[in-house]
Amino acid sequence: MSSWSSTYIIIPAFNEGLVLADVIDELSATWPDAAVVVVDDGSTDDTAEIASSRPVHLLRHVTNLGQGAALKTGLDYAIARGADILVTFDGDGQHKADDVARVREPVAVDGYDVAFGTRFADVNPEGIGLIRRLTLKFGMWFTRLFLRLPVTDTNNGLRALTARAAKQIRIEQNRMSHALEIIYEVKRLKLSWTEVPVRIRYTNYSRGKGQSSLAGLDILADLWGSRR
Amino acid sequence: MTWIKLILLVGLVIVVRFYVRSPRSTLRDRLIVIPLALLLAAAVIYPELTSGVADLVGVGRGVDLAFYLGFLLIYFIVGMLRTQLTEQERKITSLVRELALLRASAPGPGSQSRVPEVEDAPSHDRSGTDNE
Repeated sequence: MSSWSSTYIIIPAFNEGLVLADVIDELSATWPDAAVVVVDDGSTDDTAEIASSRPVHLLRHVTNLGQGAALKTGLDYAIARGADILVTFDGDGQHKADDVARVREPVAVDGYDVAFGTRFADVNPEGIGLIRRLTLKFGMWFTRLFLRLPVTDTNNGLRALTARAAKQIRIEQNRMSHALEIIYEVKRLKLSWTEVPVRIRYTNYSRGKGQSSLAGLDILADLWGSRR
Repeated sequence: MTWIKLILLVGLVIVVRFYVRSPRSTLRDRLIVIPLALLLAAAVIYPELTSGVADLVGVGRGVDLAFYLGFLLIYFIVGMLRTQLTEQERKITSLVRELALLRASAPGPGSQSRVPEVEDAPSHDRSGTDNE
């Protein structure tokens, strides 16, 4: 059993100045005992200032590297500080703070190495576009086919890992492909995993920040190139 | 001698000089580059020579053969550069990460954390100025 005080919530943030304050405040109000780590991935807006005026750990990349790299920096930091449980949480406000407990529980209580948040567990998520939906479905089928891992949502930023799992997982893709890469690593390292339904807020902001559906192809190409 | 030959030869000399004088070129490199340059110079002065080689490998004209080989060479160079770029990116990543970890700021007891220093590139906004 791990306590909330050794739970680290890691937020990779690149130019999230508009929403980051709400994201952090919601998290610290909901989980006052957890440590929040913001990794400012070379933002050119006031992301760092917003984070620094709040009770969070702040790490800054001097230049933009990508979400995967920011996540890795945050994980390394939290592990070095003795984290037991690591939760990754997108900085654009698409996740709900409540859901942290849902992904954390299988890892903290049931002994899973990794818990992925999924937006497709039961009902169709509200506000998701058709193209986006199809792209994510494609990602899912691709993962099932090639990795033989029946995850239902390959690009969800909300997940929980044990420190043991986080130490072993290699994240070498600096850009968005890290989401698939983590799934690949779970498979390679034979980690135990589960999925937990979480809700996604599809706002115009998060849609704008998110990748276009075509970027999905880039992700496949990145992984394909790196794994051969 | 036609103008094009002159231009090609001058270009060749410049490239070879540039290469041989570069501090990164080793003796072994020069042993490859200089004979290669001489061959190329011969091909420029006596283009008929290349037609013989082209015939031998089943290409119509010597110029065509040079064109095809040139393409191959360019792809090869692009591939090499990409590999180097990837390696470069990897190094930059570990550098940026190391710096971020060194300058990390933890929340203080008073809950206000310090903004870790970042030397911004000139194009970036100076941190601390809230201008949006």
